[in-house]
Amino acid sequence: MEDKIKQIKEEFKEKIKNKSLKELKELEIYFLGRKGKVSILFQFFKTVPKERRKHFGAKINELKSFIEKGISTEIQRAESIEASRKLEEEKIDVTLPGIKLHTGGLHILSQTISRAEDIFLSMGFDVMVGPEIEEDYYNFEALNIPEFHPARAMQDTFYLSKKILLRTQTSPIQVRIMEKYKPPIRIIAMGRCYRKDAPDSSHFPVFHQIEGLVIDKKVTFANLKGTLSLFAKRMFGEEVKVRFTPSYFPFVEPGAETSISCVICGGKGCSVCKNTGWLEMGGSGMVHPNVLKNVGIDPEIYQGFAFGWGMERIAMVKHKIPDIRMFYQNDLRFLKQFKG
Amino acid sequence: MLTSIKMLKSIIQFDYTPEELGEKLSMMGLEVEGITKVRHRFDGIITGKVKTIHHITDTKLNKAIINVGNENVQIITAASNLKSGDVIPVALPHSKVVSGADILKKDFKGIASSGMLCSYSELGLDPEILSGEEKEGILILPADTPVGEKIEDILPIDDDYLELSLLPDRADAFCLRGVARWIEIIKAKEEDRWANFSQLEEAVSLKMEGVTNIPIIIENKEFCPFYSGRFIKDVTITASLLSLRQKLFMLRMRPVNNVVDITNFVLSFYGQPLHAFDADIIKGKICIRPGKKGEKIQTLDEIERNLSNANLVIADESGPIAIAGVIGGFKTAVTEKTKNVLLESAYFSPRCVARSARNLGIITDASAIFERGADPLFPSKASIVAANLISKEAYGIPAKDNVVSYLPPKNPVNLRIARAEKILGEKVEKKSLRKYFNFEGFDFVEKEDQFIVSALSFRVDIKEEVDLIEEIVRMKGYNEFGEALIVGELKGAKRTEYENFIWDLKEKLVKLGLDEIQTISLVSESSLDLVGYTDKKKLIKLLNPLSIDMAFMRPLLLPTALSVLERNKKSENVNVSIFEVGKVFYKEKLFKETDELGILLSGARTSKNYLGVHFPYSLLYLKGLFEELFLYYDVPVTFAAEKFSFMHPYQSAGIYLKEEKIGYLGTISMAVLNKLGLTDEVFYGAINVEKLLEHYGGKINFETFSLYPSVKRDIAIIVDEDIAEKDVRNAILSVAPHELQKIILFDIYKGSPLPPGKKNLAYSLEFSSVDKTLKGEDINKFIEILEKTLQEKVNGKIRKE
Repeated sequence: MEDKIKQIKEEFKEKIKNKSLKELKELEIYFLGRKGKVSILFQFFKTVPKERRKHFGAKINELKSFIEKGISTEIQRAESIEASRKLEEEKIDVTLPGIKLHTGGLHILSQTISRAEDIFLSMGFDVMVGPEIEEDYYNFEALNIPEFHPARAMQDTFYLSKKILLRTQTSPIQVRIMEKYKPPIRIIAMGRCYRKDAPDSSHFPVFHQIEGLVIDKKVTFANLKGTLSLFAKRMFGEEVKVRFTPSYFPFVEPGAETSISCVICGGKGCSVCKNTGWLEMGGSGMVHPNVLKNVGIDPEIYQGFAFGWGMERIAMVKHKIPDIRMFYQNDLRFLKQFKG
Repeated sequence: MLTSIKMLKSIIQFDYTPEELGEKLSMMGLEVEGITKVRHRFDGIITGKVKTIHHITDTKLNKAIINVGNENVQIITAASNLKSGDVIPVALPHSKVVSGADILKKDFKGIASSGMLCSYSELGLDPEILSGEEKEGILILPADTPVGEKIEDILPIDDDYLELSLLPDRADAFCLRGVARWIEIIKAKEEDRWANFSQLEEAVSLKMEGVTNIPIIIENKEFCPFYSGRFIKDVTITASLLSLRQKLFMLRMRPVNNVVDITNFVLSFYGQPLHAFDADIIKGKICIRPGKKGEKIQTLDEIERNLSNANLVIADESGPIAIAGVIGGFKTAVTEKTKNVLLESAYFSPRCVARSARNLGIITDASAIFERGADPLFPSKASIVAANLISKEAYGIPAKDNVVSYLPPKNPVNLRIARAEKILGEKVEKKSLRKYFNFEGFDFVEKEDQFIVSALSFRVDIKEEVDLIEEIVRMKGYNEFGEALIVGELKGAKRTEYENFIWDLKEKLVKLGLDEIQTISLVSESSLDLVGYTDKKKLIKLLNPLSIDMAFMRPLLLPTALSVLERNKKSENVNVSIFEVGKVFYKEKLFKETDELGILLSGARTSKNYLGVHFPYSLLYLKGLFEELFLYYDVPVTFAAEKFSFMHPYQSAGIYLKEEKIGYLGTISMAVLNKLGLTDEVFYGAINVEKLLEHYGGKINFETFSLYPSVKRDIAIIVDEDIAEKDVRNAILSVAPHELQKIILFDIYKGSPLPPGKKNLAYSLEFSSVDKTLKGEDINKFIEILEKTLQEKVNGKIRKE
């Protein structure tokens, strides 16, 4: 009997070496199964004298637990080998490109408009809108540009009827706002304008303007410059300067063309600023008393300033976009460059 | 406007480089856009006089003997416009023409030719400023041109020109003398003195004989407050002599004849438009009156024009002979035959000339000046200057002019110092004002806290107080003012509710993976025809489109979205998922505009990849996007199958909010795509944004959600194939308990073992309660009721395993 136990133990020691998980499961049955080697030993029990049974019982149990322990250790070992083999099989070449999921973005004009609105909102300007189809009165007459005024020739206008046109500027919104609200007024208005300009790299029949209007009792020429200067710094960078050159818009007096120091060359002179060091952004000036009178505001009490800059121009300068037509072509290779 | 620096220097002395002058003028409000430097590109070409010219038999050539000063040379030429006595440019051997070719001595069939005679092109002259005769054949110079002189000394070719871009308020600078006046102001400012314009005025004493007998009547005194007519007898009309030709050359005026050249010279040099009539053709008295309907006039450009009361005309007893301030008549024009001239020098009001010119659709040098505002006090002087020149150049004998004047006196303008300070935001010293007004040559009277200013008559931009405030800024310098931020009440700035909504909408669409596009709002009729737009009555057409491609206001966003797609497919951008939120326009008695949202999809959400993971866009993907929007804005819409001319007939739907249609979506028909050369499927949908906002509450309140585990139940429903899924879903919802949280359709199946004509819809239902854990039994009751309802409403059965 003892030999048998010894023999089984030796056989187990021999067989347990380097077995796979599956083989280990088979071994478990082979030794410990109902008809396994160890179970069979118990069948020999009857042949063992009673006084020896206790002794053998202990021996067999010892063998059983030896095998159990041995198998479970080996199973653990085999499992961990199996697991790491499996992980290895699942290896992914992490240098492979990821799957590209298409994501959306706002048009660069919208991004620029949104940024400009945010800057002016932070300066306490309300954001207003107005119609694109406009009356001659709001687009011209109320802005001190009566019929046949030579300034009309500065803005080639699309007409829908004799007195209805596509607004050539956002300035008519000034008039609409002043008709509706009492001063103090501090607004910007954003939107599409139309001029009969043949498309080229800097002209397009459709474009966007940002209009500003501030009316109060003590709004001065210095405030105009301070406001535009702050806007330019927030939009283009702290180092940017604003310059005025004399200009003429019938609804402002004094009127000025506003330029910023060239953001490309820092004002030293380059091809973008045509060696002037300055980039023209749009018109500005002190609201003409006639405009105030037209909307029933007393110009002796209230005064203010207005400005109108081109949004495409701002975006072109800020992002070095060479051609205004790109905004309206909507080539995805263009749109996708401006993440937002 | 190109302004000659050489000519400016002939009347005012200054030492600025052209670039410096350009910058200084720009800072005064005369924008100089650039400087053109012209230099002669020939060498050694001199003037010569034709002594004799003979045709060489059996050739197309002529033999000319030319005097070139100290010698005579023989030159063979093919030119046929020469006669003896003509002064012409001669390129002697070893000289160079603009092409760079060296001129050599040549032999023509044994006859020697010592050089060549030149046309304008060999000299590189700008044909724009030459007369018709000067451009034909050899350039014939004025008869009094000295011979043996270098051409570059005869024609002032070498010059720098300022490219001036003048704004309408700078009427006073639309002539050479006007620019010179601003140089005088710049100098006065730099030298801190009073501007002296009188140095720019030539003193002229005119010898006159007799008076002008032609009567002049002004009917419209507002439009024509001043008219001078001067009779000049016995004129000799020829080409202008050298000194005038040189001036015209620098002023870039095309020569016509001496009298016309003089009127043109006065216009471009002094800024006063004049007109010369052939006095012998004028019948009876001159009347300045509105045109009459039905009247016609053939103008100088030989075009017959219809007149109306929008035109002020100069008429004689036979009818209109000129359109006031715009253009003269052909019939009374000065020609070689003219013996006696009537010289008109008048002031026509800006509104009068602008209306007339606009009405006729023409712009002339004269109308450009009058409509901006000519100097009302200059016509008298201009007439004297011109008559003096005519007497010298054309040997005419001027009479005293017949003047009719209704000119009102010009009132001085008051400037309140306090007002200026209030507008400018800084202290304005009296002594500074004195300086500034001196620099500009204004007369003024000081009165305590006011300045009463009389600007010179040509300063038509000085009309009211604010104009003087602008002059303070101009004279001090636009950039000499400080910067200050606005001081005001803090009030919490905001966008309009509508604008907030638009931004929110755009951001939502971007989150859904779409790219925003912005397209032109002007479209062609053919792009509308392409998508079968038929509502032509609502369509808005521009009265004056730029081209047929941009003749209509877009009534929908689809055509431009398709052209964006077309463009991108051509650039190999295969996957396109774009949206635009933009204005669309229509006519309904009045012109209307409203915002539309259009979404277009083509290709796939994922780009081509090695895993074969592909997520192609489809109609139901597009519908999902719209559903997400409607859910987000809590707008209860329904989709109903509907046909559109540009959509696949069985893959399109109208989008309804209650009974109102607010949009549509579908698969663009292949017929449309084929016309655009597109092959991939395209899905498009659009909704009216304003309708969306109207129904959007905009308020979000917290809603309790269940903290208990949910119960899921899958059911399979067999219905007839043609039953709409929406009806099955509605049947479920009609009896569902409020605990039903989600209803997901996860499978649609047709075919065996189902009987033909049937389909199986598999739904996953999820229930949860806010106050207890649900049990299976709670759901069973609902399923029992549902069985009955499905039977009744959609003839459906719940399939049991």
